[in-house]
Amino acid sequence: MDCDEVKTMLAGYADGELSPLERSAVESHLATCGRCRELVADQQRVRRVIESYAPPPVPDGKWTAMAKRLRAELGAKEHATLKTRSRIDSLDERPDESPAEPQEPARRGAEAAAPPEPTPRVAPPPLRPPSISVLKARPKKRRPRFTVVAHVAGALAASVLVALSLTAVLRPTEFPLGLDALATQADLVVHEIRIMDPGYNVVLYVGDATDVAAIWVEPVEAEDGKENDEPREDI
Amino acid sequence: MNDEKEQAEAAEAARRALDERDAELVERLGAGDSRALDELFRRHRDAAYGIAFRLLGNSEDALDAVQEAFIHVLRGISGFRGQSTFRTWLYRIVTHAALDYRRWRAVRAAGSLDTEAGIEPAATGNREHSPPEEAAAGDLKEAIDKTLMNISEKNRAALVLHAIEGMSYKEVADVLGISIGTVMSRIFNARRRLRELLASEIG
Repeated sequence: MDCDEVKTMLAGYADGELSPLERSAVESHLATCGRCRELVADQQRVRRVIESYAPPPVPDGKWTAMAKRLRAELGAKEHATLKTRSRIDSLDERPDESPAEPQEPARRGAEAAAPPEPTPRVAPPPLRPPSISVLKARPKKRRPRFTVVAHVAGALAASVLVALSLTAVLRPTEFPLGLDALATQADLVVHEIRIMDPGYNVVLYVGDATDVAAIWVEPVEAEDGKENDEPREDI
Repeated sequence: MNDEKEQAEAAEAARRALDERDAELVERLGAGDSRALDELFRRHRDAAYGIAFRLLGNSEDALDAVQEAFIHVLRGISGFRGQSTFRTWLYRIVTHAALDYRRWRAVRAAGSLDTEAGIEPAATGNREHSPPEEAAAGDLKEAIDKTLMNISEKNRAALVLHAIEGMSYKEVADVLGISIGTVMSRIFNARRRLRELLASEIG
């Protein structure tokens, strides 16, 4: 072994942490290398200095204050745990009512010969914090029912939303029923007028800013003063 | 040679007994037993303080780190599965708490006038918060205070843990989550650096 290989083991050698085989290999090298022997001596010297270097003592009052603080922390933790526990127990009460029923007939049969004893009081739950598995198990049981309801409600809400959106987009624009009124709409211009026999004018209005078109069919007043028909509009 | 072996075996047996007692106390603490907390705290507070002090360099900061570590233990005790000993687990928490505290202190001191003047933040913190008993310590102790803060965090942690209660390389490796070979290398480098820095003090 050369110096670089041995260096990686010199601290272990100084601390007695090497295997017999490693120790033997290091000792063989040290027998021929003064520089590595000096490094081992340095390691041992610094080790002794560090081990003799004790931190300053802590006054008892500080330890007492810290212990008090830790007890308070423990108390607060247990209080929070008990609150959580009581919530979990209240969840447990409902599902536990039905499973108890099948046992009743058997117990009644056994109790027929002897007088019933008073129901023992349930011991309070231990202070042990609830395990994570208990906390996780609850939502898992209820998840399927919740998922179905949520999906149905979500689908309904989405349908209503889509319907309202389509209604808003496709709702027919309320056009005025007369040519005069149409003319007042700034964004509509007369695109084409055709005079159709036997007495109708067909007017095509096109919006200049939007994709809206209106066809107005207007009966031409007959020479005798009668109209051929009522006006109709289409979009 | 036989005496050494017997002593080592006796020490190992004593350590196992301590670890078993710790395991009982941890179980009781998990059930909310405050007396178990008191006993665990009494058994380990000095070692925890020793680690924190050597990593931080002053009493006040070390005590803060110890308290933080024990609070962390309380909050995480229900998740402690006993895969390592309580001692190993606690020392790991103390080491991280102390190093985190030191980083936080360095960040806080980064904008201070002391830092602008070129004074090393940790050393400044030492002197600012030093209790009287530290000020009365000898020159060597003061020199070690300074030089420990001048070696890298990783190397210092391995060195300090090994110095506390003679933790084995295996235990140090468990605490720091590194290999035994890395522990050996870090301790070697830390001592070599200390040797350079303390050349005038330790000859």
